[in-house]
Amino acid sequence: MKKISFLIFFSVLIIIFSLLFFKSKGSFSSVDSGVTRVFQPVGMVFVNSTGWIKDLFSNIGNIGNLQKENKELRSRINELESESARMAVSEKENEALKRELNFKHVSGFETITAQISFFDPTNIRESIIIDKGANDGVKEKMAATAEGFLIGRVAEVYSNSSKIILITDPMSNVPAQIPEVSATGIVQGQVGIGLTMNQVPQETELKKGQAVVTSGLGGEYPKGLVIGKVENITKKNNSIFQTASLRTLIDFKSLERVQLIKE
Amino acid sequence: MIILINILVFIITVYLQSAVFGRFDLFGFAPNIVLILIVTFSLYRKIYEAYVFAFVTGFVLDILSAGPFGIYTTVFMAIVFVSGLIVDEDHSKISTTFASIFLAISALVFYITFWAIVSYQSKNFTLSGFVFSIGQTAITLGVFFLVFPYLKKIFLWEEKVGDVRIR
Repeated sequence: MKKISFLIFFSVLIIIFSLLFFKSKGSFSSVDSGVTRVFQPVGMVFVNSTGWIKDLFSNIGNIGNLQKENKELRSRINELESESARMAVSEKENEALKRELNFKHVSGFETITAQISFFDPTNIRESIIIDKGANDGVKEKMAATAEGFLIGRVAEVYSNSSKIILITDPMSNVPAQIPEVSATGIVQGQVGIGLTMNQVPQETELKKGQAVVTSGLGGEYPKGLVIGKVENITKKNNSIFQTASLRTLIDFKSLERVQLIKE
Repeated sequence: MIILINILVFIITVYLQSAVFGRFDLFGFAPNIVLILIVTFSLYRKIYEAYVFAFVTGFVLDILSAGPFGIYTTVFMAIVFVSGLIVDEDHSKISTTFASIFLAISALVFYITFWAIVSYQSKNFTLSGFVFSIGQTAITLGVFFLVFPYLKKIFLWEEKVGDVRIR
């Protein structure tokens, strides 16, 4: 019994510390959103319960016909829901393809489009495996984009597949700049946080919402690819640099396709 | 039959971890179902079966992951090794509490080792990685409590058909 108490206590402590950490990082709004999402259906049931009980009692004498009608309606609802889901998927794909096509047209880059096969099994490293490899013209160090935003770089190439290290990976370093204030820095992935831009001179006036793009320094990434936007700024006394946490403009976890930029 | 079941469990696990749980997270944390399976497998199946399962699963995940290469295989094999040392032949004595503590320690060792190596390689030590490891362990433990009774039944299926297994 003591062991179970200790285990429960320890688990609760771990969860509390984890939540405290994320709250301190200012990302607790997702918890609020999550709680709302969980409780909303139950709340709606409570709100609608008065009408439902009233209808139930008034129709109790006609229950046989109602059951038949209910069965038919349920079947029809299932059909419509299925159709609606298919349309939503098609619409999402259509939007993504439009953005990809627009990026290719505006940037003038020659690209190779590939499908994502696997995501990294742990959340500590951030990588993906795609279905195009050396046979399709993929080469190491090619920049990878999705819907026009930089997402990573090809790290390993096999004959029919490749591994891409995402910019959110802790081993990733991307020379970047904030064109609005002509500041440069290095964008790095941080475990559990996402992206941060380091080595930005302290005197630069950073603001939330400023766009961060690749600087092209070092020649590893093409210049001008959008990385994300400034979210929070951290300034420390006695330091010549400041740090900014960035928000990516696309959800990396929901990606399905990527474009590799040919050199 | 045993081989077929093990292969099936292995395929489902690798696909679930890499294609589903690799892109799923709850407040930034995602459960490690492979770790849950390795721990349960090592506690309830024959030790040599557990070694094979740990090695093959670890190796495939090492290939799919960005590295450091070998960490999955090493940690999974170590879990089976420790399990072989501390668990005796009568698996009926294994309680849920014991299994959950064993999993929690395994998960902590796995994530902290992973984080430490990646931090060393990237020369970027941050406390967030440590907190992240604890969060990952917590959510893995949470999922373990949900699936453990079912996994136990799956891994002890021979007893259901009267083929009493000696560890």
